[in-house]
Amino acid sequence: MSEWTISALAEAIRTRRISPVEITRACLERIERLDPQLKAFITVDAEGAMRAARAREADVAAGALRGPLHGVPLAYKDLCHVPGLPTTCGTLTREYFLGPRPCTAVSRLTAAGAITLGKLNMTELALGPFGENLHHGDPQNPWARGHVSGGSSSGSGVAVAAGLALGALGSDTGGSVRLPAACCGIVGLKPTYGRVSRAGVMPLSWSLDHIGPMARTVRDAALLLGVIAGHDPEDATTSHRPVPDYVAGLDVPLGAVRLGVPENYYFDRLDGQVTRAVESAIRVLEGLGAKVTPVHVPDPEIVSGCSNVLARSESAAIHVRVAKDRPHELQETVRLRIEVGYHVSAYDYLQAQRLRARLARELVADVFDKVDVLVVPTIPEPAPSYDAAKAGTAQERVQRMGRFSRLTRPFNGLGLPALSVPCGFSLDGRPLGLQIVGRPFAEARALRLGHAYEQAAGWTTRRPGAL
Amino acid sequence: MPDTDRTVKAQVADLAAIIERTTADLSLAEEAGSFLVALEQGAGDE
Repeated sequence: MSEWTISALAEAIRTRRISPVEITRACLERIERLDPQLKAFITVDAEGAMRAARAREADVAAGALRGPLHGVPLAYKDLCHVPGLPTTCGTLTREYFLGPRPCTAVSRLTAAGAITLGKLNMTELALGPFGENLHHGDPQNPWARGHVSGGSSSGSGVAVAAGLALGALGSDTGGSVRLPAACCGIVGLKPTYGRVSRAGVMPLSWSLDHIGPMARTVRDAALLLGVIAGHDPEDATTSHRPVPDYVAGLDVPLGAVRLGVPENYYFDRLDGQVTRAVESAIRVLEGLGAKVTPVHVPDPEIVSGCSNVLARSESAAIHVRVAKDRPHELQETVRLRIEVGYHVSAYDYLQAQRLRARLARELVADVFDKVDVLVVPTIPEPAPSYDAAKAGTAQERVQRMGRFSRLTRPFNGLGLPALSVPCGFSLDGRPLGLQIVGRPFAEARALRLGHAYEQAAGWTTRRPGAL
Repeated sequence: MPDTDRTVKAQVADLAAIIERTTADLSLAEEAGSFLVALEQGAGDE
C-alpha cells in the first residue's frame, strides 16, 4: 500500500490490475491501524469512500473512466468544504466553516475520478507552522514520533508520508503546504497566486492564501495540479491563463537552466545539516546541466513584514466571531496572533497592499532576468520535537513560529510558485526540503527541475521505517 | 498592563514601523489592487 504512487495506481486501475474497491479498502484498513497514533485525520468517511469506490469500479467495468485520477483515494485538509462532511478548520467547532459552495479544487479532483477518504488534521485555523492541534491531537511525524510534522497542513503531510492516502490538498498562507512536505519527506507545491481556486476553502488571509497539492513524487504533484488549476468563476482572483500539461512537461529536457542561489538571507542561521543537504542538492542539479548563479534578492524581511500586516488584519476580520465570542476555545498563540489584527490601521494595510505589488515586480525584474529559478531551503532545521516547539511563553512560541517559516513566507507575499522536494535527512533520520521557486505561472519549470532532481537523488523512494 | 496586551501592542508597533520605513516613496500610480496585474505581467513564455 505505501509503495503506490498516484501515477502508478491510476495506470494499474486503468489496466484492471487493481480495483478501486481494493485500494480504498487497503487505505481505510491502514488508517484504522495507524491513525490512532499518527492523528492525521479529523474525519474518516469510510462509508462514503467505499460507496464511491464501488461506483468507480462499476465505471471501470463499463469502460467509462472519469479522468486521470479514476479510483485514486485522496484526502483533504479540514478547511475544504466537502458537502456531507464536517469542516472543523482544526477548531473545537464541528461545523466551523459552512461555505455557500463546495471546494472547487476537491470538486475537480472528484470529477477526475478521485475518491474522498476524509478530512485531515491541521493547526487550528491554519495559524501556525508546526502543525499541533489541542483539540484533535498532535499529528505525529511518521519519521520521528514526538516531533512536529510541520503545519499548518500537518495531517496532509502525515497522511501522504505514512501511506494513508495517495495524495492530499493543503493550504499555504506562509508555508503551510511546503513546511509539512519538507518535515514529512514528501513533495508539496504552492502554486502562483491565482493559479488554483480558493473557492469553498476557509480563508485565513485572502491576499496570501494558496491551495496546493501534496504527494509522494513530483509527477504526482504535477498530475494533481493539472486537475485543480485554472480559472474558476467562483474565485475572482483566479487567472484566465491556460493550464499547461504539467505531466508531459516533466520529460522535456532541462537544457541549460539558470539556477539562482541567493547570497543573502536564505542561507543565514541554518542548521548545518540543512546547509549541507541543500548545497549537495545544488551540486546534483549542476551535474544535470544547471548553471549556478549567485544572486542578491531584494530584502525578504520587507515582504515578510508586509505579509504580516496583511495576514494579521485579514485573519482578524475573518475569525473575529470565534476570537471575541469564544476566545477560551482557541489556543493561546492563535488568539494572540488574531488580536494583533484588530489594531493594525487601515493606512498600514493599504500601504502593504501597494508595496507588495512593487516588491513582486522588482523581484521578477531584478532576479528572474538573470536566472530561471531560485533554489533555497524549505525549513531552517529538521522538524523539532513537540517539547521544543511548545516551550516558553506564548510570545516566545510566536517568535519561534516566525523563525521556522522564514524561508517560505516571502513567496506568499510575492505570489510566486514554490515547490518543496525532499533533499536528504538529518543524522537521526528527519527529512529535509529544498524549495524551487519560479517566476509567476512557471510551475512547469519548477516541476521539471524538481522531477529531474528527484530522479537523480532518489530520496523519495525512502519510506518511514517504523510503520 | 497584562503581558498579552504589551505583546500585542509591541507587535502592532513593529508592523507599523515596517510600513513607515518601506513605503515612503510609493508613487500615486502604485495602486492597492495592482498585485494580480504584476503577476500576469511577470509571467514568462511558459
